[in-house]
Amino acid sequence: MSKMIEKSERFVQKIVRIQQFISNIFLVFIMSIITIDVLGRNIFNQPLKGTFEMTELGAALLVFFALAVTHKQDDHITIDFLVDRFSEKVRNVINGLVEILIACIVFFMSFYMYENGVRTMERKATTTDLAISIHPFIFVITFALIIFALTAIFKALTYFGLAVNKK
Amino acid sequence: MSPEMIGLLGIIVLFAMFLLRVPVSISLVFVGVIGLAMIRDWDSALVQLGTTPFSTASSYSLSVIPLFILMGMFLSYSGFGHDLYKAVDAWIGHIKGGLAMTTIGTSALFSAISGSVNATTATMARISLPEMKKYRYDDALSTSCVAAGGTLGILIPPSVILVLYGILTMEPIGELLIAGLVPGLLQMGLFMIVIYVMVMRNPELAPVSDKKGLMVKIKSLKSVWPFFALFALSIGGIYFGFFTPTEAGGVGAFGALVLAILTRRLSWSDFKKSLNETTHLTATIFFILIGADVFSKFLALSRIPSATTQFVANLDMPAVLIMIFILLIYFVLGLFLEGIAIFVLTLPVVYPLITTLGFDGVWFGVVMILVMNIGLITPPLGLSVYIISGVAKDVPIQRIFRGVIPMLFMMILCLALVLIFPEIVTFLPKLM
Amino acid sequence: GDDTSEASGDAAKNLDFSHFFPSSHFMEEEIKQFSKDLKDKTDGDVSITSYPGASLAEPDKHYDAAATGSVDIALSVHGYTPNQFPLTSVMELPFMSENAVEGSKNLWKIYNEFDEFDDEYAGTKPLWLYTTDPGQLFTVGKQVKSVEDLEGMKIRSPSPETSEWLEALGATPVSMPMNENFEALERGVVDGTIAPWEAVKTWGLDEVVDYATIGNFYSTTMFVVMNQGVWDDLSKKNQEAINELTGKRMAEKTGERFDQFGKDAVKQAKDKGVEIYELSDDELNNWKEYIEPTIQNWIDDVEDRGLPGQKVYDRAVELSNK
Ligand code: NA
Ligand code: NA
Repeated sequence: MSKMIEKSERFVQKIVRIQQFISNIFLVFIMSIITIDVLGRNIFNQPLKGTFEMTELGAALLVFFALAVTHKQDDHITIDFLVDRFSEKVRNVINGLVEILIACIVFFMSFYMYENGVRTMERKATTTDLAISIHPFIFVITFALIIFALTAIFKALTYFGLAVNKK
Repeated sequence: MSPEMIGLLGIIVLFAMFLLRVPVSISLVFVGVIGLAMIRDWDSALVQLGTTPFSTASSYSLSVIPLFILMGMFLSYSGFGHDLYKAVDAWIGHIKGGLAMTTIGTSALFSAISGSVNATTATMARISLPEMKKYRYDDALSTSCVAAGGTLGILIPPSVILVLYGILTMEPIGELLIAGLVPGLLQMGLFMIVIYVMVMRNPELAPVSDKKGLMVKIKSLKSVWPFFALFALSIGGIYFGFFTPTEAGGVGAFGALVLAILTRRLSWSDFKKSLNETTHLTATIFFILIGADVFSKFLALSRIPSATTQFVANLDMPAVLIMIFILLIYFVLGLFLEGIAIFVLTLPVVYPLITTLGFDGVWFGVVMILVMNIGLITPPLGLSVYIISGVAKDVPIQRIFRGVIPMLFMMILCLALVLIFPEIVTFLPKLM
Repeated sequence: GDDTSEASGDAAKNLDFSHFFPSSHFMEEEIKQFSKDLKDKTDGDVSITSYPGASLAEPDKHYDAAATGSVDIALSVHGYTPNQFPLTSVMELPFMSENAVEGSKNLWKIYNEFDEFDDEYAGTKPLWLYTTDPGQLFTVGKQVKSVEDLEGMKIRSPSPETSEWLEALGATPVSMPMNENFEALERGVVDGTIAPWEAVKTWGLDEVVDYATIGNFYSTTMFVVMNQGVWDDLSKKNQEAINELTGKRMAEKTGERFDQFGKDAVKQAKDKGVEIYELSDDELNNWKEYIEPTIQNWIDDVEDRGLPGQKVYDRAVELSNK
């Protein structure tokens, strides 16, 4: 049982690392297109069509792809001072429960994000200038959210493990 | 239960969740969705859960924040930030709190590029915090400088939110933008003064260095040119109309990268680190903003903001007292809501009220910014502090919140001065 | 059974009405008035709480919000969600109307004449549709009278169709959110913008533009829709009352407000020294040479989707010539 958990955790971590890489690519991408657009507009009178909407989409993808790794590294902002006063065991239990709560909320979020994607697909929503379909992006984000939620579950397991081991 | 009661209950639950170490972002989403469900219904609340994250993360004014952060990362990892602080140390390192005052000054300069507090704070945090740490500055002092300096971002033009105020109230936008300049500089001066006084009283906060010789001073200037080249490019680009303040993030990040490559200052691994850290910090900030959006939709439906402002509007009191009441309400709302949400939810009642009372609309716009900035550095929803906490991971968040208290007093003092002498705000636009 | 539910079926139903206009905008007044009329007409059964300033949903999420029930009634701009209202967008084409009343009336008429519109409004009950006063060209520093004047100028464009013909005319179309328009014009990031007079006043653009060139190049169209489920739950009596109050009546009424506001905006702009130039029919014919391919492309696009683009366009032109 614990072997299987370990294996799936490693698998999820691999995806998290790939997502980090994609997130970085999107960052470089939006930096580049804005620069190309500004140069093109001012020097050649030829702006880069769709820069505005590609920046919006690029930033959104950047954010959701980076959420899981950010969470894995405990980078999401929390207020610690009260919980820090509890014993280590209580702290681990609280942290584990909080991770479960995070996983639940993010799973719910991904589910309704998926529904949003389906609606967007049915309505054939696109971007303005390039008429790119929006729903594939929402589905990709749904996936990224699921990975985020899984990361939280594995963290919960780690915390509960610590709580049990440290008697 | 009335919507207002549900709203109050939501705020209490939010506090409790924060204390139990639930991430700020998740707490806001959780309370927001359940609150929406209780006021309207579950279906529509859950729909919000699926739509708000994407629509917030893909809003253009926010999508340039990562680029401003990236610029800060490049400047920091390439050592340009280090060179700047080294030069500053050579010139004024013997003055008490010199580096902290430099941070305030650089923030003011940076505010001329950026139109938002988030961008200014995140960029400056990344450039200045590691440097002040090297010079053994107290971390409560250094983080509070960045938090305070960042609030200048929307006072000194350009300012996204003053433009919004102009649109919401139909006050002349040009006058509003200029009106923020003098109060911004005043606030900058007050911050510097409080730093000086604090370091005078407790020299350990900011160790002074030995006075350097002239040669060392002059030599230190040699390596600060990339920093100033980038500022010249960004400010020049905005004021000559090559790009908008929002685009300045992209151009600035690109410019910083080019300078770093040309001067061979950025290794491949530092480049990767810059990207990694930028995406992490962006994800952190955006997830909080997503939560804040869901939460503010809930507060909007709870009608607390409109009900409280309506209550004050109906009070029969002298104009000055009403103004003070309004400012108190804004202070309280600032604890829980983001600036733009406050504008949208309260201006419908407040703006007509203050103009009938005879206050100047442009002046009031700046006053609102001053009050709103206080909200940015106060718990529980203190966005600036959260951003800094995302950079300075080794500093406990409550230490940052405590550190900004002296700055808070200066902001209140600045507000008081602007209330007593409205000319601080109004004289410049009137010259136009 | 049925009788009692008819009488008290909607016992004091309060509907959340969401829109993106600032509360200082005249549309908020219009909505408040509508709310009052509605309450009177339904004997207090149905009332409305207005949420201005997009505080419940982002401007481009309003249709979705109404369709999914996040809000009960939503007002927003069709163009914020491109391609989702292919037939409605006929009114966004150039030269479709000379004023908002005409545009609004015609839009509502066409909507009712063609059943194919129903797909565009799935999940909602449209209460009324309308257009703003037509979009004109506003420029900074340089007056545009002829096609040649426009050459090389950077113009903020409200829609992909507008971008297409601006490019054909030799201008450089720039996309940016409306709230960046002021600073972009002031600093010279763009040399001009295409917008209705209403928006010029609302967004304070008359502070920064110097010239206006009148050619009715574009119309912003807007919808007011109610969640279908909410509509279905209303009693017949109240549905009838709402039908009477909305539709053509509100389309016209809203159009009148936009036209009046547009006139005020012209006056205010003149006071601020904005120079206005109206293109003559002859001059416009020069422009049309470049603009008409865009109209044909629009028709082809819509026909490709299996929708009656040509018929709808022809009808819109026919109505606009009346
Ligand atoms: Na600024
Ligand atoms: Na706050």
